[in-house]
Amino acid sequence: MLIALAVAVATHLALRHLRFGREIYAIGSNPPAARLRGIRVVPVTLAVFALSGGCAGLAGLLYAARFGYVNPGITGVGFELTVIAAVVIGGVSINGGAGSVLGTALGCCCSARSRWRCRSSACPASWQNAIYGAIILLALVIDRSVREGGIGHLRRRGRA
Amino acid sequence: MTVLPMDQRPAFSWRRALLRPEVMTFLLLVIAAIVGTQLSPFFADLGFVLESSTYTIEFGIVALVLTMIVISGEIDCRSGR
Repeated sequence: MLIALAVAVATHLALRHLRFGREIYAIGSNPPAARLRGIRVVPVTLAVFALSGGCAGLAGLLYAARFGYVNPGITGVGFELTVIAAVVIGGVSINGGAGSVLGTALGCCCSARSRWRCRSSACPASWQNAIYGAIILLALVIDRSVREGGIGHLRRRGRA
Repeated sequence: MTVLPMDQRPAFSWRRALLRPEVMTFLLLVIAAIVGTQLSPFFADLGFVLESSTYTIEFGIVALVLTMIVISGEIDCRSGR
């Protein structure tokens, strides 16, 4: 719990108060503009992926420490869908450029609560994956509609 | 993202604060907690909450750092256009 809290605080501070975090937001909202502004897009993106890989390794280490074994064929299967759904539930724009760590933390809590609820009510695993997929699709539609000027714009285009 | 100086920043508004996505997620969490508590009294038990939280720590760590990747727009969700 303390490790997760430390990662959350570090991520929040990096995104909000460091130049690196501002560069991530700039790259996400408009990559060509960020490049023209002088931001080195490739090294920043590489650093983000390296950080993500490092933290995934830390998560794997914690998992192995808890359960005592890791099966490469089973462990973490379908994990990415759940994690992306949690991030999207937290209000992070799936097209980039917007979002916060607080939202992701709340999204994780929501996702974990609903997962425990599904398990206790014997909801099949395939249905859980379908729900997470539907959440991601819904987030994509909402994000696109907001970027293009609201739901009304999509409706008008559908009629045309 | 442009950072405005303190004197040019807009005044705090409850309407804008309530429309933030985090608030919606928080409300969703509260609703889920209320529904869960109605379905089972153990759902609101502090011991259960702490124990279930420890099982989602790995999930949380990966999600927190994946936030950076999603913000930087590296998840490609293009659908043909």
